[in-house]
This record gives sequence, structure tokens and C-alpha cells, in this order.
Amino acid sequence: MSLNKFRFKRKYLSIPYLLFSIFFVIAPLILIVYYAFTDKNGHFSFENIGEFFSSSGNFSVLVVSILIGEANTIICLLIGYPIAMLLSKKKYNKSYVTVLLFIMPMWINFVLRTAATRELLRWIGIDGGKYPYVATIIGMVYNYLPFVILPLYSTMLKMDKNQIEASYDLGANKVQTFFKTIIPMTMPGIVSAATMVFMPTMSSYVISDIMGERNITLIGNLINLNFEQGLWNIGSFYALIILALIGLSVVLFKDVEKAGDARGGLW
Amino acid sequence: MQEQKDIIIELKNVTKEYDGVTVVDHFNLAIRKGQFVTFLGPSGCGKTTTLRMIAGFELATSGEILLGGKDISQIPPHKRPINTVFQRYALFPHLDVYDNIAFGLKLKKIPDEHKKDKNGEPKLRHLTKSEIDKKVMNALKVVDLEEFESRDVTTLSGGQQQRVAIARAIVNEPEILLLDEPLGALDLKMRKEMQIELKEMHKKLGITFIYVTHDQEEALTMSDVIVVMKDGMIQQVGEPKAIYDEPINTFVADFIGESNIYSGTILDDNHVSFLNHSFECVDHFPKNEKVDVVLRPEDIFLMEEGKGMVDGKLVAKVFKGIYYEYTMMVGKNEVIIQDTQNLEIDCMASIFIKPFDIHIMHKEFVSNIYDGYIDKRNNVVFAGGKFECDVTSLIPGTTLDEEGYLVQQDGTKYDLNDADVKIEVGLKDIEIIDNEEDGAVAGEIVSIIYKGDHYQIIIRTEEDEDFVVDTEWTWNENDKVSIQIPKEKIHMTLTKEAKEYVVE
Repeated sequence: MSLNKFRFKRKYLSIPYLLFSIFFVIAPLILIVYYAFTDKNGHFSFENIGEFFSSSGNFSVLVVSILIGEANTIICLLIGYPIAMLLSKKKYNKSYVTVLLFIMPMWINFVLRTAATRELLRWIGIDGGKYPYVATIIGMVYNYLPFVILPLYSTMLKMDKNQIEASYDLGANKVQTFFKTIIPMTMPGIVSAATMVFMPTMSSYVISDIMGERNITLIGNLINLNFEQGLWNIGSFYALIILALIGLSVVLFKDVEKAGDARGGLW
Repeated sequence: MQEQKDIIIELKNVTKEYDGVTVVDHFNLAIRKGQFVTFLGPSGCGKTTTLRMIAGFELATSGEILLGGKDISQIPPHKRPINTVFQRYALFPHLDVYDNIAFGLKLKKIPDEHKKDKNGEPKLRHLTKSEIDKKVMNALKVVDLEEFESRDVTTLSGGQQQRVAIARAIVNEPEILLLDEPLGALDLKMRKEMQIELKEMHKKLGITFIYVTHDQEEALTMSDVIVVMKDGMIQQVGEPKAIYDEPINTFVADFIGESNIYSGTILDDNHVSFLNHSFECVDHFPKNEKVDVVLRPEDIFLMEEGKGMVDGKLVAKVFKGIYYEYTMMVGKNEVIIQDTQNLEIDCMASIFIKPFDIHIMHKEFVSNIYDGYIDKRNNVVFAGGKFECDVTSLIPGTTLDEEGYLVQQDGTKYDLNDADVKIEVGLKDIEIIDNEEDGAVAGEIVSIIYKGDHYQIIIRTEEDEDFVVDTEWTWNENDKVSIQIPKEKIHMTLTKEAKEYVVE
């Protein structure tokens, strides 16, 4: 009898995820906001905002972070798009092994891989001490390339060959078909790829530290620095700024995605 | 001469191979301007491939495609004045209805009368916005989608999407419009409506339509000319009525409309025997020839027992709206009859057929013929399989010795290892086995035609050899089976003289 009383409902399935998001998403977010708008003694204050805008150094760090994030995203897309296109064509890619080749670098430990890249670059003359930006971008592109290839590859696999043929049929040559049909149709993949690269680059600092040999300060470095020194409030405010930027980019990308087909998108 | 001028597109010996497999085999066809031509056939018959070669998505392995007399077989699709309506519409999801239709127009360049280049030739210019606007609105009107121009294509129903796809193609004013099973994804009612609308559009626009379908009813309803295809080859070309009334072989008869197909024998100039009865007929065939006889169910009249030509027992009745479909057993043969009378089943009745409704055609397969050879163990190898056989039948009066040589009574020895032979196997002598492993050769059933009291089945092996089998057992198309042939049913003859194989 008592067993019958418990009726399983589908909504119970959401409990594990609910607990997860409360502990690892919602609670930390509330903490960030709380710390960002309080002072050391836990009193409500705007002094962190003032602190951030009082120093022009902070502002340039933010700009450099955005620029590096954008450069990384664009370069990754430029390299990843043709690769994904080749991989999605059966003619060139007879098995999944080729796809695996591009994903395999992810199996090596991230710090180790980046350090090895630095040594390799130094060996061919791109010294992180002398060219911190070039080295950092190379390191980032190498690390984030798989994140671009995968969503693009899966979007391209789902693409209807007939639509490309329809474009030729209606009088478009290969170049016109690429820009007027293939690019717009893979837009959801491009958006997914861009968000998957841009957001983590914004807050990463390990790559720039290793590749640029601590010559570059990104906003991630600032947060880390402040947290290490126990300045939780100002660190949280920086984190909040990143959060705002990511939120903004999601909204912007979503508009672009709406214009394209909804298939294969991340959101 | 007049006819020659009218021809808009001509396919000459067009052949397409994929990795050595021939999909379209020496396709020859001339299409007149303004015709509605339908390629009809079961899936895999090469109809879509032929269409794609006309569109330019596939290049012909050999042969010519002449458009207005010029060979276009190597020209890329964007330079051909031909547009396609795809089966799954293939609309651009990132564009709205207007931009989908305007896609081709925006790319198009036309000669500009006002500007001349150095040689005095008019310069090319893009269409102006108002020109495009006018054409798009006109196309929308043709497909009955006015005021839909700013709709997102993904929000449209299947039928509406199909209309957009048609508008997108016809707006470019192509010389030929290709339609690849355009109604395949629509429901029955919608399909019927669109059939009529397409036909009207064809009349109004005057463009040549080439239409691909596997639906025989659709082909009969819409076309001026039907091209029936099978295995990459044209079976019959003709007007719908001619194809329905005078099918050239049992495949066409079975594929188009319902039919009763029987094996018969020609008795004399105007009599043919089937269903254990001699029928008067109008086709002339050589006496004693074994033929296939095709009767359309609606051409058979039901009468009281004893009053018609042949009596039989009605065993089943299905109401079909305006008529009943009866199944009658005449001896072992099944006869399908469509009649408006409401009769009791399980009763005896009689049938009457008018002489010109009896369609007689040459039998396609009288027996299976193969080339093969004898192997070391005196088995015969042909059609990708190894069969036990009686080699002594190849040279009369011989026996086999212990070493495997054939020995004549006078002591002449023959070694038939590797000897080339012709093999003939009767249609009824091949046994079909359910299990692919158990027979001598495995294959797939590619065709089944019911012939009154038995089925004629074609089994195709992986090496593309066909076995035609007459059997009383029911099988399904695409079944994977294997075949076996009893030793004594394999009839062999040597290709060379027997003396070539004498051992000294």
C-alpha cells in the first residue's frame, strides 16, 4: 500500500539538475554579485566600481582582453571553417579517424601542451618574451581550434546538399553559392563556435601567462591576482564585468542566429 | 523537318556509371518544346539520375545532351537555362519567401540597351529593384501565394513551401523546368490538388516540363508523354493512353495500372490459348509461340455461369467506391475483375473479354542463359556460383573415370578443366532458398510479377547477374535469398568443339 502512494512523476527527474545548478551556478552567481557590491566589512557599497574606473590600466586590460578574444575567435573560424568543410565531405573524409586527429590534442594535459607549444615557438624564433601577443594568440588558437571545428562540422553534416544544388541551379557560381548559401546556412554553427571560443578566451589567463611569459595582463589575470591577495570584493566585480560581457555577446549572437536557420545552434 | 525544329532537348546515348555500375544505359530521347514529359519507374531505375544530368548536377559518363542543338553535357548547372524543383523543396531557410524567389533574379545579368561597350555590344547589368519586384509578385500570383512575400519559409506548410519552390524556379523563365518528385512529400488530397494546378501552370506558362515520379497514376494524369524506365533503360515512350492500352512488355503492364498477366500459347493467326481456353485475339504472332497475355481488370465482364467464355468461382469481393473488385479462380489461375454488379461470392460465374482487350506480348524470359566454365572438380561455374553438374552430358556417350576425365567407349579421353560452356536453365528449375548461405549464389529479389497462378521473380546477384524464376511461393521484393539448381536441370553445351579437349 505504502509503495503505491509514491507515484513517480517525470518532474522528479529534474531534481538532480536543480540541486546541481543551485550549488554550482546560482549560489556562486549570488555570491559574486554580493561581493561585487560590498566592501571588506560586508557593507553595501559602490566603491569597487569607483576603484575599477579610477585606474586607466584596468580599462586597457579590459580592452586588450576583448581584442585578444576577438582575434582568437576570428582566426579560429578562418582556420576551422575550411577544415570542418573538408571533414564534412565524404570524398575527403572516409572515416571518423580524420575528425579524431583534430580533437586528439585535447587529450594531452592543457598546461603541458601549452608549455610545449611555447618551447616549440621559441625554437623557431617566436619568443614569448619578445612577441607576447603573437605567442599568446598562437597558443590560444591551438587550444581552441577543436571547439570551432566540432560545432561547424556537425552543422555542415546536417546541411542539405539539395540547397547548395538549388543555389547552383538558380545561377549562382561557386563563390556566390559559398557566400549566399553555405555561409548563411552554417551560421548557427558559426555562432556556436564563436561563443564557445570567445567566452573562455575572455577569462583565461593561464595561456597568456605561459605563452606571453607574464608580459600580458588580461582580465583573468586581474581577477586571479585580486583573489590571491584576498581582495574578494574587487575580484568579484571584475568577474561581474566578464559576466556582463558574456551576457551581452549571447544576446548579440542570438540575434544573428535568429537570422539563420535554428538547426545545429548551441542555444 | 517541322518536328526537328520543335525539339528543345535531346539526349543521345547518355550513359551514367558510378564505380563501374551502370545507372543510366544509353538513354535516347527527344523532347518537344512545351511538352509535359514524365520519367516513370520504380526507385533505382535511373530516372532521377537522368534528370540530374539534364540539370547539370551530375555529368554524363558518355553521350550528349543537346539543348536547342548545342551540347550542354559539360556545362555547369548555373550556366544552363534550366531550373529545378526539388523533392524536399530545398528552400533557403535564411531567406524569406520574397528573397527565396528573388535569389536567381538578383544574380541574373541582362544586356543593357543604354550602355554599349567598346565593340558596340550592349553591356550587362543586373535587374533593377522594380523589375525584380514585378517578376516576384507575378510568380507569387502564378502559384497562388499573394501576400506571402515576407513570410519566413520555415513557418509555411509543406504545400506552401512547394509553391514557393515552384515560384523560385519559374521566376527565372527557364526553357525547361525539371521537377523531381515534387509532390512526394505531400498528403494525398494536397497531391491531387497540386497535380491539377501544376498541369494548369504548364498550360499557362508554356515551359517544357520534365517530371520525375514513381507514381503511375500521377504520370497518367499529368503527362503528354510518359517515359517508362527500368534498370537505367527506357522500356516504353508514349502518350499515357497508348502506354496504358498497349504496354510493350509485362513490366510496363504490371507497373502501369492493374493487370492480370498469364502465360499463353498462340494457336493460329487470331487465337490465343490461356486459362485453359482458346480466345479470339487481334494481335498477330507466330504460331505456337509462348507469349504473355495481359488483361486489364476493367476489361473483363462478369456473366452468369455458362454464358461467357470461361467459368470460374468468385472467391473474394472488395467494394472500391464505384465498382467491386472480384477475385475469381479459373482452375489454378487467379483473375482480378472490376465490375459494377453486386454479386454473391463463393458462387460460380463466367467471364467475357473482347478480342481487342486481350494484349499479347513476347515473353521476356523463356529461360536463363549464362556463360560459364567447368572447373577442376567437374563443377560448372557461372553467374558467380559453383554448381554440381553432369559433365557427361556435354559429350554424348562418355563416362567419368576415377581421375575425373571423360572417357568415350573407344578410349578417347577428354579433359574439360576450364572448358567454356553455355548454360541454360528453365525458369521453373531454379529453387529459391530463404537462407543466403545455403544456396550456390546469394542475391536480392528485385522484381516480382504475378502471372495468374505463379510469380515471376528476378533475383539479382551481387555481380549483377539475374536469375529469372517462376515459382508458386510468395516472396517479397528486396528479400535476400540464395538459389540452387538441381544437377539434372542444368543444360550445358560446349562453346568449342569437343575434340579441342582430347587428352593425348
